[in-house]
Amino acid sequence: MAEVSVKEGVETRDWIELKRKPVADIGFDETVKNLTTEKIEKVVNAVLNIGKNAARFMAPLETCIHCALCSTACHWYLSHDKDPTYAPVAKVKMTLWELIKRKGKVSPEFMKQVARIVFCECNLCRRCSMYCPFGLDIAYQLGMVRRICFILGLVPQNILDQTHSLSATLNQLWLTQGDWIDTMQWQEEEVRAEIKNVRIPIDKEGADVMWCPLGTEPKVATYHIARTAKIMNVAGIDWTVSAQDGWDSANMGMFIRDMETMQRVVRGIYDNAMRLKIKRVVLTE
Amino acid sequence: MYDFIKDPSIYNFVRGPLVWIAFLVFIGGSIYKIREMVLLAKKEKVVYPYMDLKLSLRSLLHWLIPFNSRNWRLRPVVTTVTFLFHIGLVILPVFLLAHNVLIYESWGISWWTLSEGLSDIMAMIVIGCCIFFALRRIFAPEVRFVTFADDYLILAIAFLPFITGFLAYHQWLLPHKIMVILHMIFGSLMLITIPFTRLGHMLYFFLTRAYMGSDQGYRHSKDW
Amino acid sequence: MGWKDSPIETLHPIEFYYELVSTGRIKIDKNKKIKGPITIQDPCNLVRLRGAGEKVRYLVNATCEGPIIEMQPNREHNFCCNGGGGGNAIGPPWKRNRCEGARVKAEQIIATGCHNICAPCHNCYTSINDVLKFYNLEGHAMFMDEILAETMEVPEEFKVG
Ligand code: HEM
Ligand code: SF4
Ligand code: SF4
Repeated sequence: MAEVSVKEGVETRDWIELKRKPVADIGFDETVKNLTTEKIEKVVNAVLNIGKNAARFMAPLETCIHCALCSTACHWYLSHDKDPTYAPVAKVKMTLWELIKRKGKVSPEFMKQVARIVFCECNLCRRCSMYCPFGLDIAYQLGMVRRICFILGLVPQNILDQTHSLSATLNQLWLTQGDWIDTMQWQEEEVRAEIKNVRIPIDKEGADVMWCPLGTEPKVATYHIARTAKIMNVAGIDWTVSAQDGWDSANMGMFIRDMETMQRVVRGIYDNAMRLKIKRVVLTE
Repeated sequence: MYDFIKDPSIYNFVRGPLVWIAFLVFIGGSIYKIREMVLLAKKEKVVYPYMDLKLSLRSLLHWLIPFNSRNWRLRPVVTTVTFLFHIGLVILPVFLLAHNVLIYESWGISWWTLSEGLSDIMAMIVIGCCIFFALRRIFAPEVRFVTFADDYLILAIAFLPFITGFLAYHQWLLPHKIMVILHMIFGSLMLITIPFTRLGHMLYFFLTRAYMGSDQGYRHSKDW
Repeated sequence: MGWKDSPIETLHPIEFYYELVSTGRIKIDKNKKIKGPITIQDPCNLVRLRGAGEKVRYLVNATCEGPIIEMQPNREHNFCCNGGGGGNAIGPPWKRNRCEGARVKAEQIIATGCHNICAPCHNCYTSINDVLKFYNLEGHAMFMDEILAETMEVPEEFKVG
């Protein structure tokens, strides 16, 4: 593969059709310097070997007839004047098939391109599965590639940081337990200016509903908390929020296929629900 | 080469053991492949619990009837061609008069057959559809981008039995006998390759649709 | 969300609000209803993974005066807002990339001619607002809790003063 110059807006020479404006992201640019072909090969093969035993992974590979009927399902494809490189099946081709074909022996530059495709050009929205005559789960396949990229550390910086935060604190924006409870109490006071005797019950055992906001709500969008408090109080719901970590319903781990963090977040919520003997959980995300 | 093909032993081989082998490989291979996939699926935690017969059939039905899913409606030309192609592909070999005669000679059973004229038209349709698919692969940018050499290969595998059969029937191009031999070879080739190439979509279609249908159905959504 | 083996019932707020409004625990104040035509951004997780498209419509009908002008296509077939699946979370460097990829969304919104867009999902809310700004469109996304908190009837005993 020939050297690539950033100026051309082409990140790899593997496909001449693939033209993108360069975007700087430390998560990609710095990690890629530390990668070697051997490292990539190891990770790719480890993940693919697990994949070989998964029907959800193998069936699409062996079924897809390359008919590109899924292409018009994707908003990326339509938004870019039907650029074939944005079609769902093209994304699978440029990432997964290529990795399989070369048995993971690819350059770090190539891997960076792959990461960009799976993270920044697909939302795993599953619309393409609805339009494929076979109902192939493309989102799942691209998710597998995200998993490879995640293990290699090739993840956009912002989302990686939020995932680290989740794995350390079980919320997405490095809030401490103190911050969280403070915010709740502060919001309670705020809303009282409008609605009498509003309560945001914290850690109430046996409540009907546990509400799990998104991590951004207490940090930058507190009005969501205020509104929820209003609604809950007016409706007279027996509700609560959890005081302990595990109140955030964001799950960035899911997006980058960091299964470990993902499961811990889910567990955190369920643990809290169990601890407080909650009947139902409302997750904003 | 010519003499070789004219040799009656070739005809006998193709007419006898080769067809047998092809059918055995086709049936055995298909069962093996489906079994493998179902077993794999069983191992996965999130596939089996979601499977639901009713939801699967619902999804299958919507996609097996032309224009009954949104994507079929969005692409009328491709849909028409696809359905004509596959109907011809599946119905024609089974109900062709000549095939029935052969089967009758071998086993003494026969069933309802298509008239010769209709068969001829269907063969032409299938051939035409193959050409359409090939042109689509070459000229539609989104299809060309995801086309590998083996896409042409499987298209050719589907195409050859029909073109040779068609030519043999009309006795064009090559002597009848040779064409028939070629036709049988390609037909067997198609049967043998179905389970082991992406022509296997014929088998997996029902599995993948069933999975997606059940999964979406479970989430109170739909996938057509 | 919504796995078969989940130990506790989990709900999306929309499903929860639907319950509140349809059972009458929350009443909508007729005078406060949102005015003008409104369109709905169907979030992927809600319509494709939860099948709750009709519930959103029920809520919007209950809280808004104006007719609902649907995006085309809508419900299960709606396009993703381009913020889901980590699309927003990958961060500021990618914002331009993201908005360019959401051109169909902008076209959908223009076609409806609505200025009010109900986007009942955090990701949709953020990215719809970004898209509107990027393409210089008038209008704003509205979150469901915003609509509901504004339009609900606040009983006397809750009123301050
Ligand atoms: C009865 C079961 C079958 C089903 C449900 C099925 C379904 C499909 C579908 C949905 C497509 C994609 C549509 C398109 O490209 O426009 C397709 C394409 C195709 N099928 Fe089948 N198929 C079946 C059996 C077969 C068999 C038995 C063969 C041949 C041996 C075959 C050969 C092909 C070929 C060659 C294409 C590729 C078209 C292209 O190049 O784009 N199919 N099939
Ligand atoms: S899942 Fe990804 S590829 Fe498929 S339609 Fe959505 S954004 Fe496009
Ligand atoms: S529509 Fe399905 S079979 Fe066709 S190219 Fe896309 S994923 Fe493959």
